[in-house]
Amino acid sequence: MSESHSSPTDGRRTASPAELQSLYADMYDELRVLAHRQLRGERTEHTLGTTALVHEAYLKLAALDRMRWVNQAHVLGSAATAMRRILVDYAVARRAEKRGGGIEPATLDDALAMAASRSEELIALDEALLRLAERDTRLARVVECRFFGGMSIEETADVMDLSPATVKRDWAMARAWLNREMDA
Amino acid sequence: MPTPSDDRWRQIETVFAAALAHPPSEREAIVDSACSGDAELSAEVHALLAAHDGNGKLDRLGAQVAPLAAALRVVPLEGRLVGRFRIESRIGGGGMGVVYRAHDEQLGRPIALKFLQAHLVSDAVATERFRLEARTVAALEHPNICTVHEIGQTDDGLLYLAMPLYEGETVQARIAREPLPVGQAVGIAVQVLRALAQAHGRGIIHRDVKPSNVLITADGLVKLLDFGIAKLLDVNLTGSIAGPVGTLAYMSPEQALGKPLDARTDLWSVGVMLYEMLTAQRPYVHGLAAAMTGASQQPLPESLRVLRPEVSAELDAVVVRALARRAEDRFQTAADFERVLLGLGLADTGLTGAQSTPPRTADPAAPPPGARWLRPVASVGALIGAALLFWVLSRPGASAPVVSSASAARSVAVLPVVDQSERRDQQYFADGLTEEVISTLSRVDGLKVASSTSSFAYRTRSKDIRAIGQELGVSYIVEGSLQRVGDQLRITARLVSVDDGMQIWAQPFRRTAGDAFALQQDIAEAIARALQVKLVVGRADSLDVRPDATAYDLYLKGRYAWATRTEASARLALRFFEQAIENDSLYAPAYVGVADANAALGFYDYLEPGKAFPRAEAAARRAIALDGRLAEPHSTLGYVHLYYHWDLKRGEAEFKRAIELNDDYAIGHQWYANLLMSDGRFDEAVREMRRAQQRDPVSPTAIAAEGWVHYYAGDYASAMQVFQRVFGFNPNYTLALNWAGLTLLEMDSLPQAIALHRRLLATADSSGLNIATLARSLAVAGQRLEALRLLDILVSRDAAKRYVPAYEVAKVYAAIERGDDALAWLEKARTQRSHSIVYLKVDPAWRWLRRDPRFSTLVDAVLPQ
Repeated sequence: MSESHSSPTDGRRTASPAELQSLYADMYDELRVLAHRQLRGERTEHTLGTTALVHEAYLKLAALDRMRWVNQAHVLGSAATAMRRILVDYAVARRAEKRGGGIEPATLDDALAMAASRSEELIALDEALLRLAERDTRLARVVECRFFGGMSIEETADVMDLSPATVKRDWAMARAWLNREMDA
Repeated sequence: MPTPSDDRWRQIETVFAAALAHPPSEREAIVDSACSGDAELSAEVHALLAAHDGNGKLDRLGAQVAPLAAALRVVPLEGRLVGRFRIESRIGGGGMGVVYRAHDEQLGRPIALKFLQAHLVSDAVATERFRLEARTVAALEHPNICTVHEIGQTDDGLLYLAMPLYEGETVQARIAREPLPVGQAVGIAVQVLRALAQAHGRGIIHRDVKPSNVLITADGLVKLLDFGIAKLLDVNLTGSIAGPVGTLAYMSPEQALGKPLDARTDLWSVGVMLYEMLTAQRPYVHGLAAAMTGASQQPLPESLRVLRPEVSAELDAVVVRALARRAEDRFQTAADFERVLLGLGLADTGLTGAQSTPPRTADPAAPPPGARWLRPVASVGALIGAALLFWVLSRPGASAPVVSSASAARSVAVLPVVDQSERRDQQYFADGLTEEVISTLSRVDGLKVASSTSSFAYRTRSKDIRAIGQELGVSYIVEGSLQRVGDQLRITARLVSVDDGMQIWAQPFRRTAGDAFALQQDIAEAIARALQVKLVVGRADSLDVRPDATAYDLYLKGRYAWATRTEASARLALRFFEQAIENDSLYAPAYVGVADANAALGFYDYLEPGKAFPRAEAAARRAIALDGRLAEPHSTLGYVHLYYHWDLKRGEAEFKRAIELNDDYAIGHQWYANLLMSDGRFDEAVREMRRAQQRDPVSPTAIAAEGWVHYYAGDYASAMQVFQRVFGFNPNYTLALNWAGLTLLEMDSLPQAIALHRRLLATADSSGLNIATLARSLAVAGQRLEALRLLDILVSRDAAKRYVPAYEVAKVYAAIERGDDALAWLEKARTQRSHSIVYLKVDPAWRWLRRDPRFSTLVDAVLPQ
């Protein structure tokens, strides 16, 4: 990334990590409300879908990026984290619901429908990722970027300030390890 | 797995990486030598290598997450040159990729480019595999399949497919308006099945048949898009096959469960689509999730006949069979399915398109005898055309013939189309075409057509037209010729008056050779439509005073595009209207179109008012000069007086004149209501808005705008009722999202207002208006920081020479109680000649600013009593 977090020359302010965090915290709250409403089977036609919300936040940040507030890679990284958290949270909530004998709530949100139908695998992945992070946080982060953020090797390298070769190696290791861990 | 120490972990990593750096055959040796007797390490690495080569749970889950993650990513590509394609604008997007409209600089034609999500092709193996698969798919050629012209890759590695750009709408968009007539729904399914039959015959499964992948072109032909793309993308990050890719709601149970697939999975999807076309809802609300949980827990879909009583028991049974949970209980081939559907005799001929089986002899899809030729066709443009024609026909005075020389019944003979192709080998096609034109014209009410046997007697043209006409006792002759160069067909048709031998009309039609029957039908309809305009529809005082048929067609397309009022559609409409003028420079309605398109660009802040409105005014005046009896241009002038000159008196005079000329013109009432509203005459405004609705009951704008009146009138409950009605048929209707959000703000439902305005920005274009609208609702809700950020984004557009709606910026400042800034921006709005200024008196956004004497001075200056 050619643009760093600060760009003193154009006189614009750089978004602080705290501000970024608060922007994502807002979005994350909205996502939770949305997911919980879905879970209760409430009508949510006046709310954005999950992907749309994350996407919107991304666009918003990307627009800021054009004005050199933050770099785009950073934005993508945050979106990946948000995606992971919302999918896993929803999967956990769905599992609890199933165990409680609750009925299947209808959802037209593709992301949440996916999280519902694959709740066990998502939770298994999340737990495996936590175990992976205990061994090597970097590998877990690479997975988050690639898997939940849809990033290419190069983009992941940008976000994490690594060489593409390293990301490639990390990804191969993490993928093999996670596949094995989850199949176990 | 035991928890290894840090060192142990590093060791495993190092050996694993070293092994991977070598070809598979050498890995064993590498691991053995690196582990040098450490059996545990060796076992660990071997296990990882096996997992690396295999396809595990992570990969299968990845296939599900990938499209969602991909949806997060939109890299703007507008303006870029990719290969020989100049990218113009984004026209769609989804999990599979983003589609842009582009211009082929070499061939000088518009084209659609579909870009695949970057992460799917970040790997060389995946890319290669993708190209291989894409070539197979590209080899498919069928009239109902959207062909892939080529596959390419940008410098930065994005893969794209170049495809023809069709004018039309997706079945998804069509369903969003209302359930389809039974005949149309069946007709669309039939065409999709024909496309599938061919592909399945070559071993290609579509895997993602759904309404958004089926396009109805302006000619009524159905095109199945994205053939096999799901399969292409069914490649995970490492290049091995992963789990199911597709769209949850349309996936067959076997697909959802990740089981091996065959062609029958597509037939399930056609069943879902047919059900949805007929009922506007999906058989399984849960889609995938439902299929996964198994039959026992899953209620059967609501019966078609409950939701749509006119569906016959037979059709119901067909859909039930298509949706059988077990593939063996469904139709086994697309051709079977198609045959059974056709056997019901319901399919709409306007839509049957290409035929896969010898069709004409016993086509169950033929309309009943005596049916009007203007039978329903699928394209919206044509529907509007049909509606317009119907309207024209049913108006008093419609019977006056436009072709004045013959006072007798309008009668016509169609002479055999002459084969002028190089090798003179197209006679069979030319004859088929002649027959088709005769039979199509025979269905036009009020037209007498000489039989084909008598027409074919004149194949040699030994006599001149007038003599032939007299012998056949007709007042008009249609003759045509056909030329063919390569696969390009050019058919010229002309209409000649028998009385004086004068040519009344002539028009070339260009088509690409393909299915002969579909082409004949298509051309015959185009000719018949043009002739209908000439021979039957015309009224001396109507909109349709002998318009050139192409111009008329372009005009209808323009009106259709204009109706949705997005920036892209307004600009597209403008292009259509301008083309219509190029075809017929005396065609007054096309100038009205140019005027209205510019007015829309100005009103919705897509173009600065100083450009948009003067252009609108000039075009409207030109239309009046061409045809003083038209109501429409007066209405547009009223609009310009209101929104640009802020001259309510002259505006009102023009609106009244428009209504006097044609009380049926809905827009006239609707815009007059705008004026009344700005003047605070709310009761009159509601009355006019309702008149507009009565005259155009399907216009979402006319309905939504009534809510807007209630909003300014301060009657928020009534406003919300109206918006709910609009959301009932289109939950993402831009204007309603905007106004409903504004209304909710006034009702103190702040989170709901913000949610709507977020959705506005997410679903509509990020116009200045939409950004400012969200910024204001955030500001009202006290989220100053984010509001200011958005404002900053908006204002920075100024530097990029894009129009910044100053009035809207002023509203945001007013919301955070920065009065000086608000007033400064209002001054800017005044300089810009912002249309919104006329609402200064009634807009609740200025509530607290009204106390400021500077505000009153401004109001008095721009809106004198």
